[in-house]
Amino acid sequence: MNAFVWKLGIRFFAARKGRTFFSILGISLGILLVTAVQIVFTSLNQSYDAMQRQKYGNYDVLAYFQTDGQGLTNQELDQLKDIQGVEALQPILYPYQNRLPRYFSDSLYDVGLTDSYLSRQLKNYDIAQGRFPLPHEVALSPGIMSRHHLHIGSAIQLSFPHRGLVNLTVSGELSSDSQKNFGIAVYDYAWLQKITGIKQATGIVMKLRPNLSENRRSLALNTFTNTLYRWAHRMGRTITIYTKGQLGALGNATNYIAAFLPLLKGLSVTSIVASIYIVISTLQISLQERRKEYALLRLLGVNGRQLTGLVLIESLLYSVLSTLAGLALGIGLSLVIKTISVQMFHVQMIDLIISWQPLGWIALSGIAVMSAAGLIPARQVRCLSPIEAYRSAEPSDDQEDDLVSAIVAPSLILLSLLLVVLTHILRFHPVLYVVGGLGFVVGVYVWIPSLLQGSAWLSSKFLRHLFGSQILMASRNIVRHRSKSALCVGALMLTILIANAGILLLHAAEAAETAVVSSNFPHDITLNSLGGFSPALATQVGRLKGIDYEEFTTGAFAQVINAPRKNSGINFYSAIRSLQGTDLQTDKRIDHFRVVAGNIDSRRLAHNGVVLTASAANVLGFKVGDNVSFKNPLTGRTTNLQVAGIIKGTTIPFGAPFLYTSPAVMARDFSVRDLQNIQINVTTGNTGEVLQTLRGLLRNPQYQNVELINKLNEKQKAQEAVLLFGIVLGITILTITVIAAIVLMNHTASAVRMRFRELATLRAIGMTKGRLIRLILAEGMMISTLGGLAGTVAGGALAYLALMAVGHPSGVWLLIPTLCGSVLLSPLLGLLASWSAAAWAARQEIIGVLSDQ
Amino acid sequence: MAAVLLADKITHVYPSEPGRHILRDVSMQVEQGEFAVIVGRSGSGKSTLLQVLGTMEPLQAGALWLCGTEVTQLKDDGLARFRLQNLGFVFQSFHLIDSLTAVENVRLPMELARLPRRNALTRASELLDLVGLSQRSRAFPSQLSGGEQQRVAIARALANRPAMILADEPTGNLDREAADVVLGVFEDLHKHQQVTIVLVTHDTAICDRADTVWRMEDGVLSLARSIARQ
Ligand SMILES: Nc1ncnc2c1ncn2[C@@H]1O[C@H](COP(=O)(O)OP(=O)(O)O)[C@@H](O)[C@H]1O
Ligand SMILES: [Mg+2]
Repeated sequence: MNAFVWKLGIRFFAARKGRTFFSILGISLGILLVTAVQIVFTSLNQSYDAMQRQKYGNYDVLAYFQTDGQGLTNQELDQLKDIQGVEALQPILYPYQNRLPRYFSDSLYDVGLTDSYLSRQLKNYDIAQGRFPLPHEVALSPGIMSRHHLHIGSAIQLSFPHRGLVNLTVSGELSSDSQKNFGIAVYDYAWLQKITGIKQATGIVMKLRPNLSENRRSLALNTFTNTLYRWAHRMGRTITIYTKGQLGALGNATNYIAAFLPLLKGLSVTSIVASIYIVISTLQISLQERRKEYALLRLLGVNGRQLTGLVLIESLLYSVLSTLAGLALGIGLSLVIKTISVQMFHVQMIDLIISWQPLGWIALSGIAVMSAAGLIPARQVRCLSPIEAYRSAEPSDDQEDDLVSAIVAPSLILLSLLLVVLTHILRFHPVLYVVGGLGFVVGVYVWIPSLLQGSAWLSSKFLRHLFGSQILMASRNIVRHRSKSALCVGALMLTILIANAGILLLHAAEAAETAVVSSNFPHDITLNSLGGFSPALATQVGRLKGIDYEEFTTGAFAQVINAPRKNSGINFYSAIRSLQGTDLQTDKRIDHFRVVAGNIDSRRLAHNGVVLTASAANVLGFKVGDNVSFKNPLTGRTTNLQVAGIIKGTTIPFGAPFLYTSPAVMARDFSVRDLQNIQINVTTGNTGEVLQTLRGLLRNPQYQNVELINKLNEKQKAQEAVLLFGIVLGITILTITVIAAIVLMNHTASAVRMRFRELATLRAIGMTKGRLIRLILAEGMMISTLGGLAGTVAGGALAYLALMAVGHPSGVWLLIPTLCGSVLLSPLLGLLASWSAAAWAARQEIIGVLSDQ
Repeated sequence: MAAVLLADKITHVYPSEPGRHILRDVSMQVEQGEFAVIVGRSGSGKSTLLQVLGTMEPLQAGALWLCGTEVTQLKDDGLARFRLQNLGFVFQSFHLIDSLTAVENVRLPMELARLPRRNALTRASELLDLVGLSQRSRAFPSQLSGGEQQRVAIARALANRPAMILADEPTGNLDREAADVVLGVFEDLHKHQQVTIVLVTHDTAICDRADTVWRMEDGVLSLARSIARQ
């Protein structure tokens, strides 16, 4: 590139400092938003992952077989390891899955682990002190250690079936949050295999590669679990699989927020599009203003390539400066968002994570795309004929695009509507709704030049009598510069579209999250512990005033062995803890189930009765009066209970229990006395006081493993997520509104500058300042009103169709106020954006412009 | 005979060059129906004078009566209304409104003056007829030649039956032939419509057709020739 061209390009860029500044600000807003979204959500995700890891360990799948002595061969382990996306896999040995050998007077759960990073992620077997056991060593739970006065280095004897007593050294102590009811003994995996003679792995822990895309992740996860289920099914083995998703399923605001991520990405892409808009419009304006200069350059022999270069230099300067500004401002904005979300919404977020690599990509691609956007005005400059230098009157726009707009756009709109109707009638894939919606939006956008002409024609026909010739001139100007006007209308359309679609989708997301919360947490308060807690807590809860509650024992360590219907569900019929004890007849009960067959008589249940949920009866194939045989896999003992009744409509969450008997039977036949959860509804009491009392009760170390889940809290967390998204959406809408306003300001400013001579003439022949201002405002308002209308129609349609695609077009009525709002607000926006240009034009002296030299 | 224009000792200095007097004690009088021409070399201050007379430049010193009104009494919008009702302008580079057709350009001042639509339409076509452009009334300025544009500008200047037309080098951007047509239009207006015209030019050929010729030299205006009218 010629040095002279560079110099000229930089001069042109710097010529109008005020507008250059605003343009850069406008362009930078797109980058700003993308940067902020990237930083905030990377940080949120990483915080979430870190929390998950801390709470549940850094693994993706934990699976173990419940069938005695059967597991995975080394060959099968290798096959699992080879599944795409699996990073690491470690075997686990639970040698006495179904027989709990008694050492001392405690139940001791033997576990063989490899000394690996992955095994150490299993928090139940986490070694807090000492070291990982070598052969002939063992690590024990702290409860066992203290009860038997053991410490690290102590020698003990433990008995193994077929082996008798074996001498061992205590190598370490497990962390205290392992299950309280069971003592755990961790051994070296290979050594335990040798000592027990079991060659197979009875459990596995697996971790996927980090940085997998969401799709690949779920594919890998599905392949992995399906393979396991298939093998288990084929061999008649029973397997329990935990995935990370299930582990972290309980309410977490961060978790809720993750659902919004795709939407936010869509918004950021849109704001980049808006930035590109500004680059183009700014350059077009400077081209219009320098039309004669460019034509003169052409006349003097500057060739087309040099002219293109000139425009591209300008666009390069714009994009580099705005990208840098956008990055800086984006980092600032994400700090603000972080502060807001942490301070006001208590979203858990560790420090902001600014990863420069994605930001670098954003910056580079931003600069590349935006500089390339300069090609559009550059093409126009190349097409400029040298004759332009001689012109005294402004020529009207060329009409090449009009045909496209008038014919292609309506056909596209009709086709899209047809697609939507067909999708609805013929039940095509719902994604076609979105395709139809996007087609509609593009159609409306392409249609804008025609719409401009149409509305100009209408206003010159009808509005002229009301508002006089200003309207005529304004609409003529809009038509004359319709490619530029269309740009403004498009920018506004984009704004209003995003606002409407965003608000509707926000509403839908909120409804969906509320539904999730109320189905997961049907009752006000839940006290829950998978390990179980003493029934004394229930007695204490029972003393609270103003509440209803129900309690459930932990599940019986027993398996249904005589179900008439076999293999009807993989994880269900063989579930080992599907029988719980609860008093179905107390008047304190909050669970509004119906008895659909038999009865739930307490005395009968206390004798040997069992009640099934309708779905359990269905899956297992039992009827009222049938005998259900439960086998305790540890003792081998069988217990028979008779089906007394079948109930329907229980609201008990957390899946597991499907068969209920009385607490008395649980204690007598299954030795289960601990409770697994207490469900509480506050009736006449004060929720705050109840919660406070409960928290006080839970301070007792005996209940340290009891989790208190407050439904209101969960609801609030979900709402906070929605709110946080609302904030980001609000900022986005605001940003894009400002961008649109800047596009419009640029447009009116250039229109005023370009027609300055004309405006001065109007003043000379006697137009008052007021009318002059109104003329300019009318132009801005016509453009913004049309943009508002187009955006409203397109945004409403797109949002509605997006909701159709996900199956619930709810809350459409909500669109009415936002649509009305946008229709009313868009002229106002036009007014504001063109105000400064109008005021500036009115302030100018007439003469400087009209004198001819 | 009433004086349409009466200027008394007008002095003008551009704020950007405070020391330099562009107009020095200019006094001038134009009667109803008079065709006055101001000649002078380029840079002598003719346009400045016309702009002051046309109330586009504020009056700094001296007095100016237009149609019996002291213009210093009027403020900004008042001046705009005054110009709309009483003055017509013709510029060297035409200054038509590019987005309006020829006939709409002519109608514009009438619409601004809120003349009934029907009357405005009739008058606009009459005026275009008068300047010989009734065939081109629907053309946009970019579709007209320079001479045609200037004739539309003259029709526009006449729209509200102004007391006086101020024309600043109306032929300056035109070739001889087009210039002659435009001057013919001015002469016709003067002869047949009794329109008062103040025309600035450096082209002395026009002087023969004028009633009065003023000469401008370095901001000093002097009467060069006057044909006594009865
Ligand atoms: N806006 C202005 N500011 C400063 N000086 C001006 C301005 N307009 C004109 N002049 C100066 O005033 C003098 C008279 O200009 P003008 O009235 O345009 O002369 P003419 O029309 O006779 O050619 C010129 O020397 C010109 O440089
Ligand atoms: Mg001049």
